[in-house]
Amino acid sequence: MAAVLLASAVLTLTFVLVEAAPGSAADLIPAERPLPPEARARLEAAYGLDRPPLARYGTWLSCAVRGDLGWSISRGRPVAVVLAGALPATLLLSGLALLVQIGLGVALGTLHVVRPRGPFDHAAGVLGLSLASIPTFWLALMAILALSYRLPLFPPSSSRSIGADAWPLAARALDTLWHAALPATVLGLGAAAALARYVRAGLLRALGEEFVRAARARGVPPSRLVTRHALRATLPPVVTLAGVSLPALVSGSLVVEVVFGWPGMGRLAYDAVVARDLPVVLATVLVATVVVVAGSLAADLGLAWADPRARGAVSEPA
Amino acid sequence: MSLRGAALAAAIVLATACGHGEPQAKASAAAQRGGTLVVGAITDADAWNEYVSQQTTAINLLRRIYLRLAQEQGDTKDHPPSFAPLLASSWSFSPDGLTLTMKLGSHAWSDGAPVTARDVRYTWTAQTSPDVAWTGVSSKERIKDVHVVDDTTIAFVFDRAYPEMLADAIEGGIVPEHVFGKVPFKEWRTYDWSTVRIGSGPFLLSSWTPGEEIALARNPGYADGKLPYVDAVVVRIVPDIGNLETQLLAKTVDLIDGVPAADAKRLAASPGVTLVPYDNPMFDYIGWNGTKPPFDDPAVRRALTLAIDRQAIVDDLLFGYGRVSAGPLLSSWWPADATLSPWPYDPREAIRILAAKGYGPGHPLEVELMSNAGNRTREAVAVKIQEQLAKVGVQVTPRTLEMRALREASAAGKYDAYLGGWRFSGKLDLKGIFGSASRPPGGNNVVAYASRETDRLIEALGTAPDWRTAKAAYAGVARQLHDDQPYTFLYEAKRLVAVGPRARDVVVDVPADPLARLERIWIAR
Repeated sequence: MAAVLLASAVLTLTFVLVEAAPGSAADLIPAERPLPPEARARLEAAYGLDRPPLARYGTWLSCAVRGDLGWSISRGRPVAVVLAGALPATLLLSGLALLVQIGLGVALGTLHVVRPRGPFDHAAGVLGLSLASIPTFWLALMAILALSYRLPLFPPSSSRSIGADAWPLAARALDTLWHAALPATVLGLGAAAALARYVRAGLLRALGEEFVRAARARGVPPSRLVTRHALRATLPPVVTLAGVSLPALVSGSLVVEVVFGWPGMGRLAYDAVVARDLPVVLATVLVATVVVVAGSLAADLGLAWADPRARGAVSEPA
Repeated sequence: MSLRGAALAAAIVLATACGHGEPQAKASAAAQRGGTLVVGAITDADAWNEYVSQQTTAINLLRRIYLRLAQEQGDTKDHPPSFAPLLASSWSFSPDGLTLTMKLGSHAWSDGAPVTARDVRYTWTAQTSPDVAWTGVSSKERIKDVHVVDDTTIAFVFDRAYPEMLADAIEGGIVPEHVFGKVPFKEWRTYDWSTVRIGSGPFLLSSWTPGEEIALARNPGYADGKLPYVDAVVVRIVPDIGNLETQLLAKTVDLIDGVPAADAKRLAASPGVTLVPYDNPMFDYIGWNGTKPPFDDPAVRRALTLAIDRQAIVDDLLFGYGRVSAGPLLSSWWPADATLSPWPYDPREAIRILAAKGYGPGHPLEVELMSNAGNRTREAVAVKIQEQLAKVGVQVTPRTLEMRALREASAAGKYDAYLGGWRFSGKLDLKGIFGSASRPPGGNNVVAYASRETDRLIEALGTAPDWRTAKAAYAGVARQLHDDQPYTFLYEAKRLVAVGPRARDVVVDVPADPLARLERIWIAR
């Protein structure tokens, strides 16, 4: 119920904001081409843009409840079809980026504490700080320059090779993963650096806990102490952070999607805002809201799995 | 070009060995068949119907799918363009000059059905239907009717004779009635036309992945059996021009239209890359608010024009890819008056005129100059103009607005001056831009320019029976606008196509249609 109210409030606010901005979807016509006023009026009438805003919003809302998200003026297709094309691409990119974030973040954070104040600790610290500081667009461009141009290991753009449609399913899947590797890595790197700091702090705290000292007293080797005992204790905040960062990865993928020409939700939403394609704007906001709620739910479930103490708290009403 | 694009392009050029691009092979005798041409584009298509689409990416490709009756040639310098036969094999005018009769050649749709005169008439009914709301409908306003004489003969009946009759008649690709007719006109704007795979041109739409890729395939039933040379054209859509330029250098993209002039030198120095500049049918200008003193005074506007060094703008910001504009009639277009020179750069005269109007060091003229956000060239031009006008004591404040906000502000008269541009194909709607009846609200004459003499000359233009009479009328309008300076006409910028080493015979000779010769491009292997 709370999720429905949240979605309704966000959608209404989005509609009001887009409506309050100057112009309309009829302005999709390049500004340099003189359009007679009567032609513009006919265009607006053809898309129903001449109707009062409240009537349009009401129509969109009632249709959306029945599963009809409207028509995209800027893409010439039903919004549901447009979303069906963009959402899987973003979910794949974000999912892979999340793997990079968790894998690299945990590895870097663990390296920090394996040999505190040693070369690994310093190197991991410098690397983490660098990754967190570098702007995503610059990292993306340098990745293209280094790994697509100088050393052509990965494709510089798109989600598939030319002619891949005719390939067998397995080949197409591998091809998509190959295309996603570079943008997903770039997208996940910055978030991984932040996660590494959490892991490091959590591990250092856990290593001082009684259960770890007891294990050490039992003769458990240091590396096993970290990976089997202390790391498990640091997982709850890591899972929570990863869960809540999923929406950020989805919405924050715009820059990566633009630079790599990745046909995902970020670009779709941006293009729709620029084109005043209101049905697409509302649909992408709706999806983003669902992802936020799903991310929080996933974080709660992950927390319950990682920390038995949290299971009761999760199941209790707030 | 974006900052990040510039950074990447610069890094790439530093990383590559410098050298001069090989001259583009032009001899079609060596043309090879086969291969896939990969075109890079920063914008996607919006709809696969020319009468619904607003985006040039789609329209340029649709012209290769749905042929017109004739193809406009690029010979517009000294006379109206000539036309080469496409669907029509010949045409003639009636003795009174009001009826244009066209004979169709032997063409078929890709499903095997013949292209008939009924398709031509059906297309005209679609073009003029209020339900379709085609934005180019003004080209048909003088066509009273279209008669089907027989299966292969069609007659256009005009309400009067004028120079651009043929251009107006052939405007727009012919669509098949037996396929498009199944969709009522009322539903055209909410129909997914990408599912319709038919055409009469050298290519057919093969697939479209929005935001990523457009694929065209050779039409096996195309009338000219030798063309197109390539088997397929794939358009890769990548919004970042820096990425596209990287792909051009890496030879994974063969052609990019609209390369920023700032990148031209670097790209031209890269091995195998050739630049093809072409005349862009567009001019940029400063629009002065004609309803607000002192910009309502032609003498003040003239002084401001005299104080702007437009050649420096062309040299420094367009990197030489352009020319100073004398008026709205493009220099590469037949109505242009070669004897009309742009106002010179004369800051002393500007200071004298402004002083006579009461402006000087103690009372500087202040101007807020608006430009649209995202257009980096215009943003840079605004800063350059600020610097130049400061030398004559005019204080300019550049202000960047989102395009629609700028449109609203200018239409409401809430501005001093703005940077804008007009693009046209075939003819320019002078009445819509400078006619006193087109002033706000509603009209495109947002500078609220009003001149009886200009109105009279534009009316005369509308009734000119032949192009020589029209040229004289055009010259009169241009001279009047030159004197009144409702705009400061800045420059005509060229557009650049960058071509990689694989693509050959890339020729851009039709200004508003850079892919007009797409079927003649071939891939060297």
